Amino acid sequence: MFDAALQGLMGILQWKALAMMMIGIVISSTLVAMPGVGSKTAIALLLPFAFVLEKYEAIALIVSVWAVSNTANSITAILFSVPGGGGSQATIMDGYPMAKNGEAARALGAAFTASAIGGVLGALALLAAIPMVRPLVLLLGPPEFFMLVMMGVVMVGALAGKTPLKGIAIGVLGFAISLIGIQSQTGTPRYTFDILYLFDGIGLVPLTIGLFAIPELISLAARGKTISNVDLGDLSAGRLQGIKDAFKNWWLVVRCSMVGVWVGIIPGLGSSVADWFAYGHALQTCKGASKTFGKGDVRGVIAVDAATNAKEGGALIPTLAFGIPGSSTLALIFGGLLVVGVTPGKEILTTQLDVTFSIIWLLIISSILTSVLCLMFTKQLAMATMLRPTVLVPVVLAMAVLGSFAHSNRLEDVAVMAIFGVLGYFLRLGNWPRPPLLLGVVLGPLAERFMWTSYQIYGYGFLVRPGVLIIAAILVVSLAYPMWQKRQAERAQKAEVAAGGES
Amino acid sequence: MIGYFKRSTITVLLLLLFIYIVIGGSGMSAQARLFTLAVGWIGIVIVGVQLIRELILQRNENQLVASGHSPAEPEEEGPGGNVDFAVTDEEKTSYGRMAAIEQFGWLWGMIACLWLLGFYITVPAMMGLYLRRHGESWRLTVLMTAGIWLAVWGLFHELLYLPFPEGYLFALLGG
Repeated sequence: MFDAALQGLMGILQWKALAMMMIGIVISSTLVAMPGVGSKTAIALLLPFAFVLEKYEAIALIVSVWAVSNTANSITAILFSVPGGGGSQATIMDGYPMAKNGEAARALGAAFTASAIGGVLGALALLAAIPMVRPLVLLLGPPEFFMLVMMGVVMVGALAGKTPLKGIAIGVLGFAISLIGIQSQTGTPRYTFDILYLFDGIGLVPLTIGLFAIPELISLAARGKTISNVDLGDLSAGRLQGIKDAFKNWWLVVRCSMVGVWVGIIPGLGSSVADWFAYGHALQTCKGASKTFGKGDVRGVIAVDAATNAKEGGALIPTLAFGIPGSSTLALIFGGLLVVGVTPGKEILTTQLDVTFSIIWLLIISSILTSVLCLMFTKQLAMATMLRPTVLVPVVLAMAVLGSFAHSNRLEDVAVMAIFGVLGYFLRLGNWPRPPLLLGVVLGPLAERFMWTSYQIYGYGFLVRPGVLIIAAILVVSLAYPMWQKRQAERAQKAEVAAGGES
Repeated sequence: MIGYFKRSTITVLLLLLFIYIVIGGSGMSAQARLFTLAVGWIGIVIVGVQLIRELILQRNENQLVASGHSPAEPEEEGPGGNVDFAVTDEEKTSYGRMAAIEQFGWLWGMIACLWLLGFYITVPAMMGLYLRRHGESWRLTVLMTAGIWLAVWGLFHELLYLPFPEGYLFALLGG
């Protein structure tokens, strides 16, 4: 294991891999600082470039783009009260009041430092989990893995929006799209309509760019104006105090990081859950929080930023160990790793353990580097919000077209991107969540392989194997419990209203 | 009847798609069929239930309207939950819809031009035309058009060796 850790570190310390990591950090931080672009779009646009790189260079680019996406989110949340992504909504609660009180630099300093520590702790949690999950993974067979894949798609689908059925249906649509092409084991063409391009199936990159970047681009164009044009003022005075605040509240950082790791492990719960959980935890446990939180308490910022970045390490545990990405962003990372020849699951914990360690090292190094960069270039990153959509849209459009073409050097990929752009727009308009579709497409081939192997070994009896039943029970409880809680809350609310009416 | 299905257009289309998957999958070999049919049938059941749910909601709303009551504000659903961007207010306006149509126009127009003229002309041309169409200055337009041409040629062609097709028109002229 030590050898693998060293090999992983050496792999990412090569100059090309380091350069890729820096490129990933800078581009991702800049794109994520612009609300509306988001980390998924950033990853989708950069993914095709990873495909032409060597293994470690590609991993450095893919992981760094993703790992840092939560850090720069805080800039717009604190300065303009605009969440840069799902994970920075709770940052606004205390970050924006701090900015209004003239403590923007302190809030940013605290947020970036907490984010760096959270990222490192998340990576360490992943490291600690490896020896524990390794024997468990080796115990599982194809039926259990099939069920785990199903669980990933169903949970992300059910938790992606407010209508679980819609999310699950879209996940199944993703499976359906993954059917297109030559069936790998039998050579049977499925739903190819004798079109040569479709024999290879639908490309992950054009599909993702179309599904996510195009609707976001439309949203940008519809906005028509910049996010902010206020004077940014002095963003350096008070920064050091913010850094000190994060270290002074180290125990809060550790606790909230663990909250983040726990949320990350559960598929389907995203950053937007981690940040509120951590905020709630800080509100309940910090001294005098009920009086100061929401009015500009630095602990509110620290709690949220530590949790959202630590979540990524936790989310990698089921992704790497069981091959279940817990979100669409991780599904993209998963797809990217597959393309560069790294297969999450048993392989990455046994024969490719160096890759797992390189990812852990990358999480640690990029978390720290990003925070340092964000501290140094806060003003420049904040200026990204001042870019006019009329300038941003053609750049994203050009990148979308070039990125799609780069996938397999075929013009048809660009057309596929445009078709999924239309689909993504209408899904969004009709309140159908898009992330489960991506997860279904990525996990479809795996699900099919596990299902067929299970069927060959056990017949339909694989569905009643103990492991399968246990996972199914966990799935049912995980889905039913939040619904039951919601119903209870609604009943209590109705009873309260009725009691109020009577009095 | 049409009113009933208008709100459920995507649901109905999905249902038809899953039915097609089941029909198409029935003739395949056992190995290719197993997962295909599983996906198809699961899809039919889930989307079927969703369609029934939507139709019942629509019927209840219609009954409320018929009895002179204003229909209850439907509970917000779908994206905007945990992991997807919600549709913004700007996008719901007619300006937002027009902006969407315009962007799709640029996208599909660009694809047609890519096929006809190739990447070296189309991508910079799109950049320049887009910026001018939205009232950006000539200076910025020239700068960004040159920048994107440099990116297409320098980064994608020279460094990443992307074999850009020359365009149908040039192939025709060259041939």
